[in-house]
Amino acid sequence: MAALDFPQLLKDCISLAKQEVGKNWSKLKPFAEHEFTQFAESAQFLAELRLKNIIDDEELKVRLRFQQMALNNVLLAIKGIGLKTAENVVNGVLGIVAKAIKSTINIVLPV
Amino acid sequence: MKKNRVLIILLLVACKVTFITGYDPVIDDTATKMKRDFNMMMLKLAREVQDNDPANQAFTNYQSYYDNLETDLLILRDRSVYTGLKGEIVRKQIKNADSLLTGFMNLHKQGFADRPGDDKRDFRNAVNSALNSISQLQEALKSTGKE
Repeated sequence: MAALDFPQLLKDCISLAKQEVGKNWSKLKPFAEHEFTQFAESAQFLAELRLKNIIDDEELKVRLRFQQMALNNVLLAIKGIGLKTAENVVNGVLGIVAKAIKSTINIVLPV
Repeated sequence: MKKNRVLIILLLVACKVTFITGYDPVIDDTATKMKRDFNMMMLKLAREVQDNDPANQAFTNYQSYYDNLETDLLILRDRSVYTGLKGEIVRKQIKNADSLLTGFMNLHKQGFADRPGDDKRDFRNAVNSALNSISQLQEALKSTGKE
């Protein structure tokens, strides 16, 4: 029975993890930057309205609450994408190991 | 000993993991549609709350938009029920977007006064962010990590 090539297996797994995290980060970065910038712009806009007495404290509070809810959704998206990335890395690693096992000891695993 | 090690590896490898619920095209499409409808409505509203006619931005003039919105929110709420045990993040996102849009609708019902300089862009940004976040997560949920 052939032995598993552990150094090669490790190399493949790390390469997959890097690729998966990098792929999702390149999508996540512009999204996060855009949303955080928009949040800052809205906060500035509301502060200016208050400064010019166009809105009062009560309205400022209500409108900031809307910004908070929106930001919560952005953070939930980032959390969810992180979980999905982790899931893809784990399943990808399982796939690499399954493939290595198949080629060395010829057992097909249900992955 | 070696046999045991191989068995442990086999057992580990045979389990695919799921940390988060899968992609739902209905949630994705509905969020995209809601974003388009909301922005179209806001273009009109932003104009009307800055002119000198306090009557044109009345809630009743936007009834058709809000009827559509309530239907879309109903679809999202229903879909969120089927996201399963791993769908908590998606459910929270939908609940947030629901609160945000329902809150905006209630403010509109109370009436928006004409106020030059206040085009309500903060509401537009907030709703866009909330809906973008849903679409962005759904897009990520499509991936399997194998492509």
